[in-house]
Amino acid sequence: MIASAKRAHPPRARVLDGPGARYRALGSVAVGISLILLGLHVFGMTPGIGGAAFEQPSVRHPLGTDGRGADLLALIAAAQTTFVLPALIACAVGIVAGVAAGLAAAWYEGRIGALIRFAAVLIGTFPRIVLLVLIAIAFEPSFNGAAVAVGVTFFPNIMGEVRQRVADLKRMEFVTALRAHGIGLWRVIFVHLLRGHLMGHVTRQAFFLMAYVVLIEASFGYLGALRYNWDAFAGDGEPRAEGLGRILAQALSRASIADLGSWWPVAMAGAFLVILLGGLAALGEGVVQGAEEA
Amino acid sequence: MVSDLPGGVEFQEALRVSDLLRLHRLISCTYRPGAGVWGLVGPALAQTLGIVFGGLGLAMLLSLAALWAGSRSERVDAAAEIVAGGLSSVPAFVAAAVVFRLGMRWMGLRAGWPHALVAILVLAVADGVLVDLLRTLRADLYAADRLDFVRQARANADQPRRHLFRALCVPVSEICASRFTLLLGTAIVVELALQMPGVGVLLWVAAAQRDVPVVVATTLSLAACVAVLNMVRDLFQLIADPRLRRLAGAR
Repeated sequence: MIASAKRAHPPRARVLDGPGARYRALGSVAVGISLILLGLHVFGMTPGIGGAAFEQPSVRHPLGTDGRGADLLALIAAAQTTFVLPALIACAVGIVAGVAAGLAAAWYEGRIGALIRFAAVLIGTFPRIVLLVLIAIAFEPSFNGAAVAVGVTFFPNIMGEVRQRVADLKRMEFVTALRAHGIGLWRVIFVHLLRGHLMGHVTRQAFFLMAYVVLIEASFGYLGALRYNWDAFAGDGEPRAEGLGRILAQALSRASIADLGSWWPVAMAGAFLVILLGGLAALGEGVVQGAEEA
Repeated sequence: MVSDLPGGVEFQEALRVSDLLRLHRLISCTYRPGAGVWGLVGPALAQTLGIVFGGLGLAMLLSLAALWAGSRSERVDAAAEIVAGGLSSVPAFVAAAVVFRLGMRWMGLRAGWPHALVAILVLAVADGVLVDLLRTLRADLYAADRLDFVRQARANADQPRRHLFRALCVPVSEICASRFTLLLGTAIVVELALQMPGVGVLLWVAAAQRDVPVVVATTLSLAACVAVLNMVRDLFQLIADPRLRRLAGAR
């Protein structure tokens, strides 16, 4: 019976093979570029004002310079540091809270399930960005602190998906068989259901959450920079790490409508943001397609 | 602390003596002299809801057009998926700022109604909405086409479109309601990026000035819109699907 229960588990999807492989390859390239840029920044590439404003790409400045004469490649590399840690924090909070709540709501369908569903509906009723705007302005947290709020506001999505799938799975024969053979409840939930059947969906949600953090960081950086005319430079004249949103806001504020050359930084930073967001979404889609097919 | 806010001491005093009339006057007036909260929130909310429904409608039309074109050729279907995926990866604030500036350059757009048009276009295609709608609608259409009663209708040489339409009503209303909340958030960012006088700017400015009545009214108004839309969705689903009516009757 155990053997038949094991046979009921699907084999795990391979990384660059099978359904969704194109999505996974595309996403891996985008995330790889981001990691390489992060590495360049960590190993000493810092943005300094060394060139003329709106310089074209050259050997010295591979992506050209922005309106202040800062190297765009170094600026974009430094921007990686602004969202990597917040994305990991938001993922940790969102995934742990969402999976735990989803499992509890599916397994205990009575009052506990109703309470968790009510909490999710309550959080879901308020548009996520509204809550984040209020938290950002009322408490003025660091972006790492705001990432916790992003994770919490994302939990209804993860909870809903986990709850629905676990509610379907727990009625299947292999779960009854495992329980009848004395396999513990925790082992059934975490090993057979979560690892065996839900990993792809949870991973997809994690990638979506990461993309959402990048988007929120860029959006709020852009809006904050617009509103408060954010001074991106510290007192010693050396620029500190700007997010992609702030780079875009600086570039757009200096981009002249009459001069297309000044749009160069907007195009570079915008293209990188699009590639990263598209890559993370593609990676999530590829992972779930592979898992579903398997 | 509430007492640190403008009018906070008066608010605490009214709360202490349970003076409901005074409390009502305090919480229904913003700190801007002579301005009622609803006088600020109402017009802003109407503008935001207008662009959100416009964006949702346009996204739905574009998705249906892409599905119709894709049903005729696999290449067109793949191309539509790639185009929708690419457009959806563009963040809304970038799309809004760039489209409006380029519109100013090439078409001489000025602030006003062109803002609303740009916002509707951006809401329809950016921030993942278009590709999400396209994929979900395709999956729902595929699932509805394989339902027993649709296959039976086709086998009886009956027109399956009517049955397909009813079978699609439930998932489509579900998608619209869930994307509505998402689009409300995106609309706030787009309004801020374009400096449009909608809920986004109102909320941002009110929150920065600690104008609590406006913040509370704006947030609750948005939540009420979502709740009302969810209720309309449930009613619509009950009307469209007799199985749900039977289930609700059994409860």
